[in-house]
Order: sequence, then C-alpha cells, then structure tokens
Amino acid sequence: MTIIEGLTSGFLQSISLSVLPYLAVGSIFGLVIGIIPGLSGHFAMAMAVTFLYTMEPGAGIAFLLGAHATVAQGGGLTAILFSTPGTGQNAATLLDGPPMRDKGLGGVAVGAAMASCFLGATFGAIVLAAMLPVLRSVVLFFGPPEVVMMAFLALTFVAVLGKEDLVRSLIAALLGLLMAMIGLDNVTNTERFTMGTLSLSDGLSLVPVILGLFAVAEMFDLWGTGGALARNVSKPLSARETQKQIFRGIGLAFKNWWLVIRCSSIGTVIGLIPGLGSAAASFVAYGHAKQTSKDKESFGKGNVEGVIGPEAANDAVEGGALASTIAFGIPGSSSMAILLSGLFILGLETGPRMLNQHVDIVFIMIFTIIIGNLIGTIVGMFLVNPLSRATSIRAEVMVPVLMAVIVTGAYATDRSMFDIGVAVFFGIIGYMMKVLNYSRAAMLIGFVLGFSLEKNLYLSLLLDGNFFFLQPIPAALGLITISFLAYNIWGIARDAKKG
Amino acid sequence: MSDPSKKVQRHEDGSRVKSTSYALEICFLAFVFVVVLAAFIEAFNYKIVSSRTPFVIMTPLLILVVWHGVRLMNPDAWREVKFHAGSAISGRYPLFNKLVGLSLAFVALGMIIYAFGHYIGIFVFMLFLMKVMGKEKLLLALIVSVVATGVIFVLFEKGFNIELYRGLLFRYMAGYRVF
Repeated sequence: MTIIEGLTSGFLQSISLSVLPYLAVGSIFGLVIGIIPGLSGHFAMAMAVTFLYTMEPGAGIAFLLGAHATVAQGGGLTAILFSTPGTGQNAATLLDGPPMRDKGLGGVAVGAAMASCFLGATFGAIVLAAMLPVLRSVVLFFGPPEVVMMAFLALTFVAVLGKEDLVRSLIAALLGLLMAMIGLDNVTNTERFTMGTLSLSDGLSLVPVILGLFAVAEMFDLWGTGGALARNVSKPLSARETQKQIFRGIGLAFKNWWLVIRCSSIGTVIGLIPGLGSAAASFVAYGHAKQTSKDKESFGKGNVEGVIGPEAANDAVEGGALASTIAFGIPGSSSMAILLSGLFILGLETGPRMLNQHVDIVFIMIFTIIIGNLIGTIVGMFLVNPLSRATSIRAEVMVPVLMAVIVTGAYATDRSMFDIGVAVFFGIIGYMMKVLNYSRAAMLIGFVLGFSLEKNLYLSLLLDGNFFFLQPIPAALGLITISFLAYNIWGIARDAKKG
Repeated sequence: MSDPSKKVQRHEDGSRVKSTSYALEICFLAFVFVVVLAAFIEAFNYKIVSSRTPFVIMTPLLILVVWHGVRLMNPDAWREVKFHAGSAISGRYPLFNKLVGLSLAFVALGMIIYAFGHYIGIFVFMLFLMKVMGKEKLLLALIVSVVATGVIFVLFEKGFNIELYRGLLFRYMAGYRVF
C-alpha cells in the first residue's frame, strides 16, 4: 500500500460511521478522565483497553487513541481553573494558568490551552506522517538482533530518564521482563513459573496487568486520599463570560503560531526519546517560551505564552512517541506500551508489516489524534463549566463505581475470575511501586517487550550465532546503551561521593 | 484524623523512627528477592532453551535487588520494620487500615461473585464501600450502585455481548451439577 493510498484510506476510515462514534466517545471519555485529578492518561487507556475485544481494528484504535489524545486537554482545564493538574503532564501549566485565572482571565487561559493542545497534536501528527517514508526504509534494516538491542536501549532510556530512581527503575524493568516469561515457552512448550496453575499456562493476560498497575493502583491512592478530588475551587465565571474569554484565548493561540510551532517541535523531538514523556516536554517548552519572550518578567504572573508553550509541547509528544512504537514495536512510555498491547489485542502487528502493508492503520492513528483533539477542544469550549463539576465528585463515590467497571473489565477479557485476582494483585504491587518511587512504566514496558524480546533473542541466536550483537547496528545500539548506563551510574557515584 | 506515621515518632531509646516508606521498601524488596530467588531455583528444572532468557533477566535482577537492599540497610533496619509492622497491625495507621479494608472488600467481592454472580457482587461491593467505608448517605449509595450496575449490564451484556459470570447458585438452579 502506498502512502497516498494509506492516507486516503486512513482518512476515509477515520471519518466513517464505523469509526467516528468510537472516536467521539473515546475523546469525551479522555477529556473527563483528564479533568479528574489523580486519574491520568494511563488510566484512560487502561480502562479503554478493556473494551477493545469486541471492536474492529479501526474503531478500537480510534477509541483508544481518542481517549489518550484528550487527557492533556482536560488536565490543562483543571490545572487552570482549580490549580490542580488533572495529570502530571499539565504541571507546567500551573505556573501561569492559575495566575491568569486570578486576574479574571481563566477562560482566556482555558481557550489558549485547548487550542494549543489541538495545534500541538496536529503538528506532532503531521511530523509523524512526514517521517513515514523514512521510517519505512529504516525499519527494513531492523531484524531480530537489532530489535533485541533496541529493546534493551529503550528499557535503559525509560529507567534512566524517568522521574524515578535509576536502580528502582531497572529493578522494575527487569521484573516486567520476568513477568513476560510466565506461561508456556513457545519453543520447547515447557511451562515456566506457573506453579502448576492452569490459569497461568497462557501467561499473564495483558489487560488485568495493565488495569492493576495503572487503574487499581490509582484507585488505592484516591481511596487513601479521600474527600473531594479538587480543593481550592474558586467561583467559576458565568457561562457567557467564559465563552467569550475562551474564543479570545483560541485567537491568542493562533496569534502566537510561531511559539506554538517551536514548542510543538520540542515536544515532538522529546517524544522520540523513550522515557522522557510529556511532563519533561512541557517544562522544557515553558523554559523556551520564557527565554524567547519579550516580556519575561510577567512569566509566572499570568502570561498566556506560559500556557500556550507547555500545552502545545504536551500534545505534540504523541507524534514522536508513536513513531518508535509503530516502527520498531518499542514503546517509549507506559501510554505507548498500553497502545501496543491494544494493537496486539486488535490483532495488529507493528514494524515493517504495519508500515508497508497496513499504513492506513498508521494514518487512522494520525487522524485520530487530530480529530480527537478537535473534538476535545469543541466539547471543552462549550462545556467548561459542567465538565469542571466532575472535580467535585468525592473519592468515596467515584472509587467504588470505577472499581466495579475495572473488575468487570478484568473479568470480561478472558471470562476468567482469576484475572480479577491478577488485577487486584497488580493493583497492590502498583500502589506500592507508586509510593516507593519504582517505575510502573518501566515494568509495563518490560512486560510488553518481554514476549518479542525472547522471540527475537531466540531467532538472533539461531540465525546469527552467539555473537549476534557484534553486527554493526546491534553493536552501535549496544554501545549507546552501555555508555548511557555507565555515564549515569558514574554520575550517581560522583554525587554520592560529594555527599 | 492525622496519620501517626507522618508525625515524628521515637523509639524507646529516643532515636528517631524513620518514615513508613523505609520499612515498606525493605518488606517490598524482601518479597521481590524471595520471589525471584524461588524463580531462579525453579528455572534450573527447565531445558536450557527455556531457561536461558529467564536467567539473563534474573541474574542482574538479583544483583540489583541485593545491591539496593544493601544500600538501604542499616543496623536499625530490623527494628524499624518491627516497629512499623507492629504499629500497622495494631491499627495505628489510618491510611493502612483504609487500604487493608479496601483489599478485604476485594476478597469479599471475589467470593460474592463466585457464589451469587457478577451483578450482585459489584452491587454489594459498591454499596458497602460507599455506605459503610465511605460514610456516604444510604440513598446516594443506593442510587449510584443501582445506576452503575445497570449501566455495566447494558454496556457489557447488550453493547459488547459479553455474558458476565452468573455465580454458582444461579448455575445450580439452572441445572448444572458439575462446577
């Protein structure tokens, strides 16, 4: 399939009646989840994965990515209106959003944030589309040895660049890989680490593990915190005034188009590097916006550029992050790992096959990001006040309801009671990891990569012998991994010495 | 009520008690170490092709766990663990009590689903959490539980055509004798 054919087919599928409703529902779901503090994009995707089994690939992708695409928009809304970022990636918006609200310009900040999100996401998606011809060629050089070394590189990046401690993240990544070894070995048909349980002979199912690590764990956290989800709730503006301000904010985002493009570029590049993620991108973009502004003094006191920059970068990350996920099957973040799991569930395979034979699927992803953000912006524009009421729900009401949905989703995956237990077990593990600063993203990426890592390691040893890692590309990837790890370990040792 | 684990506490000899997360991490690492060590020993029973990748993963994992454990350890580690475990078991940490309560509610949910089916299970679970543990008003808890159960029924049974588990009792009444 040529790129033009893929583009046309992807666009037509994205706006077809068999896909668009799922995209709209996913986008609104993501927006609401983003608004609710404590629930993140991972949560939205983890919940969305449970519904994929009965969907067609196009609808499933649209639902999953739509849910993910709008989370940042919802999060930005609560960061500005309630000084409580719905998700961690909106933390940079706290610097100038709430001061704007305190000046009576909350609607302007919301409008600017939503439009910047949409523009940033569109930029990232266009860059991804532009990269496709290059990716199609590059991916052909990637055989089993390259994939093995690339997987180790990605895990190292996630462990080192994540916000958690390096050793803890490496432990989490290796635990994730080990979890993937549970069940029947494909080569020898030997049962491994099943403890004689029939339920484990097929290995741990992806959905209950994802639900446990990212949804149940968040529920434990919320239940522990208790009370209303957003505190410091100020009196909202009237609906009419809010609308007027939102349109002004949207105009300001378009007026600052050059800033949007620069910050979106930062976001897209950071998205390409596994492990950094949206939060890092938005802070770098904020710094850039401040440095290049003519009015540096007003940053932190309510400058709209301080909202536009981080929000544009925030959503532009997805384009970059998707590139490595769909080209090499190597996810750079927990969201991408969940997306990859979703693709497995929908029966899709990443890598050369997707880029060459199913490029329409890639374009569905691209258009989903753009249309999803557009839906999020439109819904957000008109329903800011009603949507923001979601933050007044108490944890004591929300947690039981969401837990019932999670438990049902875990069961529905394989119609197995055992999977409910798996979700709860990994919920407890995930909560402990969150409290103790162990990277859940690294564990999930390890778990998702474990299957392909073992398969490709086996093929590498079979086809290229014991020293497969000495071939040029694997050797280069291995060298980068070791140098990167060694440099960071040296840095830790140096800091420890300084005391 | 404030969580005593967040206040400055002292041992009998006057030395300062470390945070709960310190003791929790030692317990967590010990759990991980025991599980991975057991898996490591178990892997010797497999054919070399099957055990090769697990060994490649578990060897650095065990080294890292031990290294991190050594980094964390100090002469008072055992005393810290004993102190916090004792405090938690005796119910002095409200957060811990809340989370244990939620975990026990999950166990009860599993048992109710197994016996009476999914819908009764989630309804009772939501009602119990909201009314008994969350101290919400009975009417609100009832309305939310009924509506949420109804939405889940419509979504899964009608929307996705997934039949949720009906429970042993229902199956027995329907004539099943082999469970």
